[in-house]
Amino acid sequence: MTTPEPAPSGAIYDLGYQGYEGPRLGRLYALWSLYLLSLRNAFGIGRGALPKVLAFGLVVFAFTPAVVTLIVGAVVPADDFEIFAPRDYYGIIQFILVIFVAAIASDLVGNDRRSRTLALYFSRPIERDDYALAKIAALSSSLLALTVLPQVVMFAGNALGAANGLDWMRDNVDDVPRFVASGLILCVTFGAVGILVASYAERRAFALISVVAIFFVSLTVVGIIISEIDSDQVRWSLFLSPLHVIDGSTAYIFDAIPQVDEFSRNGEPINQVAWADFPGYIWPLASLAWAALASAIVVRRFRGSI
Amino acid sequence: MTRTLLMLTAHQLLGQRRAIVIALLALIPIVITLLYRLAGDTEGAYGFTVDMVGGFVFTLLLPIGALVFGTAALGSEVEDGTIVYLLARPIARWRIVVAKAVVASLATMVLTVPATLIMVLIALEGLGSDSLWLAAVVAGIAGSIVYSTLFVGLSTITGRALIIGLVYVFVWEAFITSLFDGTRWISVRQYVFGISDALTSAPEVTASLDGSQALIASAIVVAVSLLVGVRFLKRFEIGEQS
Repeated sequence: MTTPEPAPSGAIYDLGYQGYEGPRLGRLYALWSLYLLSLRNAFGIGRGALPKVLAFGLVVFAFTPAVVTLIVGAVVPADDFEIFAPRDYYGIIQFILVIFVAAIASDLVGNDRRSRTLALYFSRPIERDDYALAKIAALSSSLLALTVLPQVVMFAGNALGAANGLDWMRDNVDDVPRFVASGLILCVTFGAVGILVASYAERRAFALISVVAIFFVSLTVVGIIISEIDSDQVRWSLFLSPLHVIDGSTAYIFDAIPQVDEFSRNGEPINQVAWADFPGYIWPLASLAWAALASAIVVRRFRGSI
Repeated sequence: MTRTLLMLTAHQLLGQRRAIVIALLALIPIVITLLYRLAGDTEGAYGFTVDMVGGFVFTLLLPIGALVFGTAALGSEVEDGTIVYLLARPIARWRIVVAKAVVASLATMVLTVPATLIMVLIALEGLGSDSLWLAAVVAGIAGSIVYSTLFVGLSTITGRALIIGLVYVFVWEAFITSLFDGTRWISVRQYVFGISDALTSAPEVTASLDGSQALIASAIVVAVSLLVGVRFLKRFEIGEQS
């Protein structure tokens, strides 16, 4: 752009105001910046001490099963020794994931509203839809550190610890695409649902409780309905519980949906999923449907007045 | 003055939209029980009641209610800055902490106890045998007091009491306690189960702590929470919260 030499405009004082002439990086760059900022905020980087302790504390909890497996694997000299198998991993740390989602989602969405920076974002090239999706993407990506990362560490550690690392790798290499795929589906679903619930709560405290309640109350209520109400129609209620759906998705991807027996109905969520006897591929699809629906509602939410 | 404080806190806790949403949570067990009765089969009504009380009321409704009320009783005053007006009054700090803990406990009881009783009445068409209802109600009351007081104490230490309480309930009590048996001593949930187990002869109710152990541990938790709460509120410095 060529600007004509600005005429001297200061009547008495020249305050030195200048127009910006550098490159305009545009909407995509703004989106990328917002994503990176949110991702940093998720782990408390650039914030106080407590958010860091909280986020990394939960990461440590999520790594516990992997670390335990590696330590025991190093002590016990058997090759096929597994305490926590990759297919069970996400189910074991589910509670930690939900707390992490609640804590981070309420921060990511709530802080901008509380400190009134939301209006500033929307006055920049960033669109409202971009904002909503950047937040979901940031939460989902931060979840990778609690899901896929411990699996990778566990896999690498087991391979290095095995008597014949290459053989072990050859036997177990199938697990890698499986835990990556199921982990990605889990992260996207958790991220979208978390941001959805948090974006509707006005106070941060309430956002926290609501996210936790949505996951756990639906898990418990659907679990009780399935096991106690004697009707085959109740199997459809499984789709209302995101944790059931994600369990089913992970089990299907690992080809590990358990056998149905007479106790399945009263058992763990995954046994209830098996009891419902839907075709297995429906679980990853249902999980992605949850993610898509939640994202759509979040986008709608931020288009309205905040 | 103490009465004013109690009324004021009750108004703060129960007079908001938050209380309505939490009350909806208490309706869930009643609705499920009605569904269960409508579905016809009442053979396993006994086991169903035990499952509902142990699996929903004691593990979800009670801790969530206590978290909301316990951390809000003092915590929201600190967050909104209105604690200043309270501390400037000539009320002993211990009175403030105790009043807040009492009201938070009562609010949690109001949330859990009627829901439990109505549920038992619908499921068992009466109070049932083995004084199951008594165990559920007494353990619910004890749990309300212990959890609420614990979270009131916690909220005097940190402004992020809610998330720390959530981690305690859903990571420590639910996850760590299931892995390491020795941690049952530091789990309010186990105290609640212990107390309810001691009060009923129903074989479906089992606990890893016995009644007197659970009662002693509960009393210790309440006392320590109150002491810590009073100590931190005495040293509270205005305008320096994180």
